Amino acid sequence: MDQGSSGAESHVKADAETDSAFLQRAASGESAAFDVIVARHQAAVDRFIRTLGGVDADDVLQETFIAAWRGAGSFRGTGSARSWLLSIARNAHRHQHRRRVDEPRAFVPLELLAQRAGWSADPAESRRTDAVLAADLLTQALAHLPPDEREVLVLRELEGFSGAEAAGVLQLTETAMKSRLHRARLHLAAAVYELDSPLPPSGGQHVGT
Amino acid sequence: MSAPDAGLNTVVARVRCSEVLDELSDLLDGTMRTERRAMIAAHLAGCDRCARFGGDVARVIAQLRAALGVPTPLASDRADQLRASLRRAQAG
Repeated sequence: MDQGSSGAESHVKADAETDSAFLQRAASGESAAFDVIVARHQAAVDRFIRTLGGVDADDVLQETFIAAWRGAGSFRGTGSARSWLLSIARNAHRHQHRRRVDEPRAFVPLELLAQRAGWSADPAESRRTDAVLAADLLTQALAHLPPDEREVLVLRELEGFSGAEAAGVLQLTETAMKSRLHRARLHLAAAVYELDSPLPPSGGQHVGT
Repeated sequence: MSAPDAGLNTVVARVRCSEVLDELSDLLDGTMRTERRAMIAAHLAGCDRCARFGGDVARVIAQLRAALGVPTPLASDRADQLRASLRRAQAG
């Protein structure tokens, strides 16, 4: 390990090396080593699967870790074990979900999303944006987004993946990932705005439509 | 300053509101070039709607991270089920 690196960097690197070492041992048939990987990452993998939705999360979770166990030898250690596992989870989710997350769908212009998120609202109309939003409301808002936007938000905002790492899991160029992330953020703000507004916006348009 | 009914076509400090909207994520992620950031900052200083909107989006993201950033641990019965399923696969 690089002795010149900071404490935080060393910690992250040590964790990554340990994951890699455990996966190597798992690849040679050591199930106890794989149990460590499962214990470390099962909650995050489960969150990712449940955020994508539309499937039996337990089935996909099991399929993910069984595939990871069988494919442990293919982990190259170039990225994190977490991103490797989420890539497998994404494939497992696709196996079980009838609709692919990247299936073409109605295109909502960014400007319309911004309007829905309150861009043009009268500044005099107070919003409760300073209040702490409840986790339930945020979860509900997230559920209004298309699956491809939900997954990019989980990777970038919740997992804290770098742009390159998130793009790798999503099999997108970094530019395409950034564009999707931008849309997802505006869409989330629109969903929160509509769910959190004391009065529904006029025009009868809703984020889920 | 332009008329408020110009909407996203409103130009403030030589930057259109729609440009700010398009580049908001770059601004929030700190991936914008210094000169461009200064131009956007000048726009935000003179445009209440964009400043308020940018702040709202930033707050929603920050609150998403704060509320849901740490995944909920698996309930013990689900973790047991996962382990049992893995054991069967490992034995087979």
